Amino acid sequence: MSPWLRRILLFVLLGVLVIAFGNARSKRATRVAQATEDGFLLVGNGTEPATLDPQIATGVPEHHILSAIFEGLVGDHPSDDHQILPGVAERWEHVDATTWTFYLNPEARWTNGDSVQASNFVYAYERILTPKFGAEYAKLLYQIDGAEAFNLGETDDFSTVGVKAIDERTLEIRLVGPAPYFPSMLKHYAFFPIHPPTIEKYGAMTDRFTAWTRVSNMVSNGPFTLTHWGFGHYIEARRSETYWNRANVGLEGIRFFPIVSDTTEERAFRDGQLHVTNTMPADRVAYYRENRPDEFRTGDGMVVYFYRCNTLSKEVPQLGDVRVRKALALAIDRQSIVDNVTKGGQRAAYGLVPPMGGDYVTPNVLRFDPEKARALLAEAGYPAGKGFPKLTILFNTSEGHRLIAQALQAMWSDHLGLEVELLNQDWKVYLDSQEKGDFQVCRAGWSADYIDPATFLSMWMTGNGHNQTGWSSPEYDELMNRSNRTADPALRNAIMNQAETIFLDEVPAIPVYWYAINRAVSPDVVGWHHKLLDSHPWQHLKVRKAGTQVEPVSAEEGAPVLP
Amino acid sequence: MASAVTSSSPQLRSTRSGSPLQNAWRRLCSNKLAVFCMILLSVIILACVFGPLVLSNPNAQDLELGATPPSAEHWFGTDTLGRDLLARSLVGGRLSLLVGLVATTVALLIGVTYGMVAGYRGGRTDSVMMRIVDVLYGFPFLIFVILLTTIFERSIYLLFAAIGAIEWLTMSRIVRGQVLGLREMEFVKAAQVLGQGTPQILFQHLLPNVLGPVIVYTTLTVPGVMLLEAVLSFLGLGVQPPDASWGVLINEGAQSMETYPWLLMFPAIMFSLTLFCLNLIGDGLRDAFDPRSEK
Amino acid sequence: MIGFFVRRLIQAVVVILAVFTVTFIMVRLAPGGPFSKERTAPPEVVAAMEEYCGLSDPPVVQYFRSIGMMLRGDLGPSYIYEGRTVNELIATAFPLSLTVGFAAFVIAILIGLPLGILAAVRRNSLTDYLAMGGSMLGICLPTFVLGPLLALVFGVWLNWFNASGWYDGSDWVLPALTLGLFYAAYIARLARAGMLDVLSLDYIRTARAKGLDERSVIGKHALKRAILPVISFLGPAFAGLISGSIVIERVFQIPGLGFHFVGAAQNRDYFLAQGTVVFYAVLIVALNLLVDLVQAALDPKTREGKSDD
Repeated sequence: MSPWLRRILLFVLLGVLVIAFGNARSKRATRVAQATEDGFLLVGNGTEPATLDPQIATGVPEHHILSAIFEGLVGDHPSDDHQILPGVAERWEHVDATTWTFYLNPEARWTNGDSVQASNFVYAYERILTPKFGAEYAKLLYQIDGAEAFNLGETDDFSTVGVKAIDERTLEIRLVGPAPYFPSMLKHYAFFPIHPPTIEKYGAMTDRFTAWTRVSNMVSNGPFTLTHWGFGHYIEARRSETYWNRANVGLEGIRFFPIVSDTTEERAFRDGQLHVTNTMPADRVAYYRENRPDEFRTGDGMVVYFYRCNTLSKEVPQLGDVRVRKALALAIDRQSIVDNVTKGGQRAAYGLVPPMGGDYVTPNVLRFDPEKARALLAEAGYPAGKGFPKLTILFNTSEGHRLIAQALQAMWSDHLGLEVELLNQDWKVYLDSQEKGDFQVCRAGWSADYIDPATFLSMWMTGNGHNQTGWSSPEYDELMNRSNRTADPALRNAIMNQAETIFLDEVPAIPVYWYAINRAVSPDVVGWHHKLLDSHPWQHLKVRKAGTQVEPVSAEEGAPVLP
Repeated sequence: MASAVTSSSPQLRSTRSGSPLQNAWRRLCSNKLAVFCMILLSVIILACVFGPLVLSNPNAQDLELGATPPSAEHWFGTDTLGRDLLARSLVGGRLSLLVGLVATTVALLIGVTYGMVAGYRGGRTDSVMMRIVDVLYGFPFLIFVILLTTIFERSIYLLFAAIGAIEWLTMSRIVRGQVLGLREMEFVKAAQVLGQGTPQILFQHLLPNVLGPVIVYTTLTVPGVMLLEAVLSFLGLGVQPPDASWGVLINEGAQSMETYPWLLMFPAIMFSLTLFCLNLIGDGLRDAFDPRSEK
Repeated sequence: MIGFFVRRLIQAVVVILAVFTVTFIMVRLAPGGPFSKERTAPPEVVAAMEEYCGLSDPPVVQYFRSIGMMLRGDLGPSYIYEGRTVNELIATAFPLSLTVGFAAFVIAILIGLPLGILAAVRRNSLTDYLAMGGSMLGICLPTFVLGPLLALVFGVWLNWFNASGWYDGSDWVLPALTLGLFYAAYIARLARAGMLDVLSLDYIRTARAKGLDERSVIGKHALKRAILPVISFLGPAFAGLISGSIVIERVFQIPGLGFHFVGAAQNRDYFLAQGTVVFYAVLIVALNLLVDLVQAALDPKTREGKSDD
């Protein structure tokens, strides 16, 4: 056989093999198809959770998993952030201005069969509030009478704290002020109960670094049970056979995949590996809107992207001058950033508190007014930026933050004539710098812990650890304190509105935009609603092959719903 | 006398400079592929150095324009902030080539000195020094560079030092090997008899004779250095914005590869082309200096 | 031979200790610690945590404590992933890196070696130019460009493999291919160069002159000598595969060791960072030792301590 003929035959054979292989591979069942059939939901979950201990956790990925395997006093509504459903508590009542009583469902059980008792909540709150436990979300419980004093170590007698188990099924909580929004705060995992015997089996109540959260050791009370925790791989939770409402849990199980890179995640979604993504890269948003609108879910998020000003900066003391800060704020074309840089449906922030769909009205103060900005800067003594020291913008290393910082740099340089430099640091270094006040202007973000403006406003009070700007206003503090003592929601909103106006007039921190939550959701998923707080009660979801009929899971079964 | 010596012992070069280098140059020029690459590389370098002076400002943003494919106005297209990609690629090239040059020089200085000392001293000193090299050779320095860049504030000088500190190893081995062979030669012994000091022997007599392999491996080190810088930039540990190097541009391009493929293509092609040229020139140089291994 | 082995072993221990010390110092020099977070806890609380973890002891004490722990095989707890030990994390992550690394290595050898030898044997033919051109391309395309490209073509467009992740049995293919092709290119060039060197040697010409069949000439005599440069490349190749895995794991979202290492450095998880580095050091030193032994067996010159350039 001539060598050329041999070569041709070889190529042909190779070609046939390749095509056959390709054909077999591309026709293989996608992971999503298999999962849908099995009733499993595949969710992209950002980063690997640092812990699954509800009193230690602080992040959003942890939140998503915790809301599957644990349940608090109240439950989250699948579509409305302002409503709450019964959870471990089947009903509750507002006994007087500051006291709430919760009546626990006798069917609420832990995964080992023990019933969930009121004392489990008391134990959990003592644990999180104990100073040496070092819980970061202890502050969330400060609404409870005596909690702050206990957490700061002023007393070590927990009976001074306003949580009491009246009996096995009744929990009484006494607050500092009226806090009408308190029950909705209870959706947060810091308020979840834990199972004392399990904790004690692996260490003392306040020991950290124990092994109780391992799959084989964990005892929880939610609609799902933790069944697999492959580090960096995926976390699986299956429907719990001991959950009181198990008859109405739509899914067989959930798998959470920690995919850090959003581009990788989006590719995985298109590949048929995920039902739901955690986010969506900005440059894919347009593509999805146009070509796959059924799979693209977008909506407002309760997160504000802002820049902190260090009013006590030694290198740029001008930042202590409110006119300078206002000039900086007015020179930002927020709409342009949102339209051209972030491009994901974010909203230009005209205030600090993102619109929450409730009755609170955010003051409409921030705008893009370069003329006024220049005038203010001149008034402060730096016409056209002359004489103003070099300003450094600090942000943590990330493509997105970099782009926005660069846009800001150009805006402040073009409109105000300032010389602006960029500095990016790794996350830890950046946090350290912020804490030490080693910055001039730095990028930051804040997300709502609960659905009330106070979650964005309380951090700016004097002495609050999250202020980090050196700004202090007695009027602001007074207004916020008064709002804490006000029971009437309308009056309270008005007071907070005043406080926010003061904040926006002095801009110690400059809001830029409000987040949008963008996700890709497979048509196989039933019952997915956009939520402002981005918390999705998993038991109300179902998966079925797109196109087949199924009844949606009803949320309003049973108990009364309190705002 | 010189020509008789060179033809029978190809490793020996007379200390009267010019002749062997000229020979090598002639051989290099007859290698058409190498010549082509040299021309191409020069074009790239010139473009990177002088191009940005002529073109539009690479940092000029045009937010409303956003990313656009190549057009008459923007030959390489624009990126997500509306910056001209051609200008950015050329400026990025400046930085990449600069890092390549400086880090390689650092590596060169350390490596050549180290290798010469080890080879000349011989014996225990050589043994110990080379053990150190052997040991360091197998280690993934990327890990230490990562640690370094997370600790110290990222600066270009840190990059030079860190990368240079990794790449000197091969150089030292090569030089040491050469020197080992050379130090038994008569002209060295003659210098020793004359009472010349070690530094003088090293730099006056030995150095010119190791120049050949050094040049070759320098040319081959530059692409390695540039690749390392690109990897660091990919991991987010390299150059800081708004500066860009090819590594940064490639990383940005890879992120939006499917939506704006030109953002990846152009920097990647320029980068690969430069590496390609450098490698081929290095190969050509190796052939030119060592005609024994005809390829 | 024994003396050689013992010398290398002592060297190995010194290296590992040095590596650990440098890492120990470096992670502690970095600003920020494992407990600086966005939602700041009061300083008293942070102090309490640090004391609990032994971080408030003087560095020297911590240093020797760490060494003591390592000698017992305990790499310490992770600070960022509470409740998990570094041993556990490495045990989970390493097999993934190993699979990809090993597969890449095999691909590199299976593609690179034959290609290089073929190119040398058919010198200056079309095969040679194609092979060398291809290998040059492999060297000039970084893994973080090739990786996404392969993911795009084979993962998304053709849908032959998953574009990322580590869930199906076939997920090792694309990452291993990306890494492997890169090293195949190097190996091809080295093999070709080594082969050419050998083929021009006198004793090969003698064998040919004697009329021995071409295949046996190549097979028996040349191959053994030609592989030497490839073997000496193996040391840095292993190191490279490990570094390369850091990038690959980022591109393909594989929860391997490199991935954790970068996270540990960035999050100041002291024990995880130290543990990973020491683990790598032990691995590389062991592999280098192996390579040296093989080389010594094949080439008597190395045994006497003369290293070739």
